[in-house]
Amino acid sequence: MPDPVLVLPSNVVIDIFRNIPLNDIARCTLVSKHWFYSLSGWGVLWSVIDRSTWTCRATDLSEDGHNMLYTGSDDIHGFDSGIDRVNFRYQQHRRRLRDRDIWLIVRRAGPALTKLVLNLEIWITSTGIRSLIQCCCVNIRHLEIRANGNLEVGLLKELFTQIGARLETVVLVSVEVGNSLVRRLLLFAPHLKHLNLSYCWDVTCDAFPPTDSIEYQALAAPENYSGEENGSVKVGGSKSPQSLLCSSSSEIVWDSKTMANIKHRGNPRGTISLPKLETLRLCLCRDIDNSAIPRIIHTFGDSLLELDVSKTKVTLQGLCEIATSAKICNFQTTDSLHNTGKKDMHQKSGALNLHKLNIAYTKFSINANVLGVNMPRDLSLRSWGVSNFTAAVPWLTNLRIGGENKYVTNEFVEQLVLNLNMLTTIGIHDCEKLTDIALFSLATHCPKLEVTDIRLCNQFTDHGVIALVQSCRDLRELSLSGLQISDESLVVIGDTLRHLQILVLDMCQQITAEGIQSAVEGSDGLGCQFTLKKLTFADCVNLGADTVNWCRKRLSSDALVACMIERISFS
Amino acid sequence: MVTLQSSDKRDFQVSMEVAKQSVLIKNLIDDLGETEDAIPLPNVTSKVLEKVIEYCEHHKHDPPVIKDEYDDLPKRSDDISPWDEQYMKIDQEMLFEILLASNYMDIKPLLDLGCKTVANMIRGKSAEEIRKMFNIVDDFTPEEKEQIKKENEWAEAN
Repeated sequence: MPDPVLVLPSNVVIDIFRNIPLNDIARCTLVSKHWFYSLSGWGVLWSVIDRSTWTCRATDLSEDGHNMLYTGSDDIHGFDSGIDRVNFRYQQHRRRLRDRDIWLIVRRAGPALTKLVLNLEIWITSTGIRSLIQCCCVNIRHLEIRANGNLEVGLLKELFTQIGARLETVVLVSVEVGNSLVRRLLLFAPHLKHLNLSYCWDVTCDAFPPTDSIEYQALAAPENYSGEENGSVKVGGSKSPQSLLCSSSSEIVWDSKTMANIKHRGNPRGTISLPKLETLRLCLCRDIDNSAIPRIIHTFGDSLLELDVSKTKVTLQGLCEIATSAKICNFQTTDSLHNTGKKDMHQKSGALNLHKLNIAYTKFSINANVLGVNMPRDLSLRSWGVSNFTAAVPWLTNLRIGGENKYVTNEFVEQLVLNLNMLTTIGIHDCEKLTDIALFSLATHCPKLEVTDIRLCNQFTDHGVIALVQSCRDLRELSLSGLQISDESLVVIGDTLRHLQILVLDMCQQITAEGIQSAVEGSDGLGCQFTLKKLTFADCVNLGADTVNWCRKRLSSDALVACMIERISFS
Repeated sequence: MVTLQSSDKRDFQVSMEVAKQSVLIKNLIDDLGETEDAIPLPNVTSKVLEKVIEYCEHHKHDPPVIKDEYDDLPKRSDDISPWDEQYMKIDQEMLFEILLASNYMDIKPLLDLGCKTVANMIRGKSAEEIRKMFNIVDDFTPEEKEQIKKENEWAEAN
C-alpha cells in the first residue's frame, strides 16, 4: 500500500487527518520526515486543543468496569449549570500539560487555532497562555480554562485585547477573574455569545455596564480626560475604537467617557458594540446580587437565552427586576403582555427571549421594601412578585429553583408555573416544604415537561408522582432520589412513559425488584426498556446485584445500570 | 440519462440524479445544458468509475448535506452506516483510487467516507505500525527521533 501523504493531494490528506485526534496526529509525525514536515506545517490540523477529544488506547485505561462510573446524585449542580461535566475519566490517566506543550502545539497551529480547552490543567501558567499572543492566534473562537490559579490578570487582559476579536465562547471557571477583566472582555470581544464565569468570586455587578447615565456619570472620569459632552468624542484614524479608551494596561471603568463610545439605546452614535450574549453563567459568583440583574437584562436582554445565577445572592426581588427592567428597556410592559395571546408574545415583544434560568440555591427572601410598596408580608405579596416575573418570561423552558430552600412553598410553585406552560425542564430538588400539591400544580400547568428533578423533597408521595407522570407523558429524565415512593409509582411509569431515558431512584427505600420490573417492562411488556439509557437505584435496601443483572439483560447494551455509588476520586 | 466515459473509453449510462451528485458533472450540465455526448472523465478508470457509480446509485435519495458553520475538528468518524462500511471493504489501492476520483469529481460525501476510512486505519496506531501498513521507510536519525519524541511528550499517556 502506498504512502497516503505522498500520493494523495494535500487537501485530501488534510481531510483525512481532520478525522484524527490531536494526540494521534502528534504520534504520526514520527512516521517519516515527509509526514513530520507535512503534518506540522498544516496549522489547521492543530487548530483544536481539547483533551476530551483525544483518544485513549486500550492500554491507557485501566480495566475499570466503566459502566459503574456514576455521577448521579453527586452532581449537585444539576445537568445544566455552570459546572459542565468534564471528562474526568481520561484526565486521571494522562500526564498534565505543561507550558512547553501548549507552546509547541500553538506554534504549529498559529492563526489557525480556533479552540483551546484547558480543564484542570494545573501546571499551565501565564507563560503557556502567552504563546497564544506570540503565535498570533487571532482567530480563536473558543477559550475555556477551568480551575487554574496561576494565571495573571495582566496577561489575561493583554490576551483579550490582542486576540479577543473573534471569541465566541469564553469559559473561565475558578480562574481569578475580576470586574476589570470582564469589562475588557466585553469591550474587546464583540462576537462573544457564551460567557461562563462560574466560581469567579470577585465578579460583581460592576462588571456589567450600568443602566442609566446618572449611574455612570457619577463614576469618576480618568484624570487626563477633559470632560467632553456625551457622544462628541471623536474617533480618529486607523486606531481601533477600543484603543482610544484604554491602553492594554489601563483600567476600564464604565464611566461617562466609556459609555459615550458604546453603542446602546441611549447612544446610537456609539462606535463600540457590546457583544450579544446568549448564555451567561454566574453560578457561585458569591458577590453577584440583585443589582446585577437589571444591568444584565439592560445590556443583553435582546439576545440572552440562558441565565444562570444559581448559588448567588440574587433573591426573588432580582427576578422581579427582570419584569421591571423590561420596562426600562422600552420592552413591552408586562401589562400589555397579559393582554396579547401567549403565542404572540414571543414574537411581539422581541425581547427577553430567556429560555433557561437557573436560580437554584439562591435566597427567596422577600420583604415589603423589595417591591417598593407598603404591603403586609403575606402570600399575596409573594404571589405578586412571582407572577409578575413569570409574565415577563412566559416562554421560559428551563427552570431550576431547588436547593435546600425554605422559601419554596406549594403556593410559590403554583404561582410560578401558572404562566410557564412551556416549561420542559424543572428542578425543585431539596425543598422540604413542598408536598404533593406542588406536583399537582406542575401536572396541571406544565404538560410539556421532559426533564423533572424532584429528588430529596421528603414530602412527595406516590399520589403526586403518579399525577405528574400521567400528565407529562413526554418525560425523558426523571430524578426521584430519596422520595418515599413505592412500586405503585413505578407501575404507572412503566405503563405511561414511552420516552423515558433516565430514571434515578437512589435511596428510594420502599421500592422492590417487582417495581423495577414493572417500570422496565410495563404491564403490557413494553415499558421503558427500549428507551432507558440510565437506571440507578443506589442505596435501596430491597435491591441488589440480581436486579442490576436482570435490568442489564433487558435494556440496550449501552445503558447504564447501577446500584452503588462509586465516587470519582482525583489521583 | 447521462453518459460518462472513463479514461479507458468505456461508457456508463446513469440517471441525472446519480450523475449530479458529482459537483463537477452537475456544474458541467448546468453550464452546457443536457448533452447526448458522453462526458469524458480522463482521470478515472472504468473499474473505479463503476465503483463510484455504485455509491452514487445507493445514495441518490440522500438529502443534501448541510455543512456546519464551523466544522471544528476532530470530526466523528464512527458514524459510518453499515452499507458504507460494506462498500469500503476494498483493497487499499482501490481505496486510494476512490479518494482521488471523488476528489476530482467533487463528490463530498464519498470523499468524506474515504477519508474517515483511512483515518480509522491510522487512528490509535503507533508510528511503527503505520510505517508497516503503508510501507514507509523510517528516515529519521535516532537524534531527530529523540527530538520529536520530546516535543510530543504531551501526546503520550503515562
